[in-house]
Amino acid sequence: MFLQNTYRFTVGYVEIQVEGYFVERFLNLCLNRNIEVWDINRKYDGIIILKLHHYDLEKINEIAEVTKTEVKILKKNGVPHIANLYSKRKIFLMISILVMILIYLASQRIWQIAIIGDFSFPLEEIENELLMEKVKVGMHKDDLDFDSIKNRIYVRRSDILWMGFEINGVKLTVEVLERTDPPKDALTGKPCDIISDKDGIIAKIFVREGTKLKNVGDVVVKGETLVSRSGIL
Amino acid sequence: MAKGDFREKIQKAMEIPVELLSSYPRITLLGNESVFIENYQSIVEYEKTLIRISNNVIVYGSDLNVEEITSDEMLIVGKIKSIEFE
Repeated sequence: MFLQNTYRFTVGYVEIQVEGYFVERFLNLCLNRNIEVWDINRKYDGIIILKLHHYDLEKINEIAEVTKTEVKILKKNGVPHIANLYSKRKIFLMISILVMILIYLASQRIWQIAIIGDFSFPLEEIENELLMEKVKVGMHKDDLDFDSIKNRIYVRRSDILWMGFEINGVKLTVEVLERTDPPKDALTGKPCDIISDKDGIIAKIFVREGTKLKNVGDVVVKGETLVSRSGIL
Repeated sequence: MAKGDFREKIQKAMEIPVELLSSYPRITLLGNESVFIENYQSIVEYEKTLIRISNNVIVYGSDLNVEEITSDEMLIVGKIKSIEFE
């Protein structure tokens, strides 16, 4: 049923009104000549409304003459009819399709690059690094190979610890994390103690190398050692 | 020998289903909402309240619409009251 309706819609059909004394004969003649009709509705005396394919209209006129009935087209429907309606607005249709294609194409590209993160060097350096990897506004999303871009930047810049890329729609977010080395003695280059330069309470402490002397919540006075260099090879 | 007798004899001899050779309509009712009639020959009368087909079958009801129709089957939809044979 669904398939049939779809076929009828794509081929196009018309709703006609048949008025006359011999509408039954009209129907029988239609069926004898293999004209497909459906949705036959009796309105009142001598009037029926029915649907048929628009290519059968010429045959219908012939039958109407024989049976002395009057045929009036009430409604046209289907793909050919809708196409016909739009044929007067060709440019409108073309432009709307063009706009849809353009929106699709534009959504495939990067239109905004945001660099976030906590780092001490100027933002332009990151921008230049990205530019050297041909990451710029207007580039195609498929051209982005994050792993190889990251690896090449890591090789060139030893002060970048980590980079994160994220695409949200047409926006590319680059997150940069700077490498911070443990403090070294300015003269010898050897590891040294970390000494507090002000009074306070430890809110957070994380030691990767060396010995932790103070814990979270400890009260510290200026000059006290926080992390000892002992234990560093 | 009448024509009907000869047909019946062939049907019985060859065990052909009755509906294939006879001119009887095959009527399928779905509640009181639709009637499916196969092997109707032609529509004799079509009103809002009754549809008479050439096998002397009359379908009575209200708001009767012929939803699908081909040269050998038809589907009548509406509120069906009765089906009569004359």
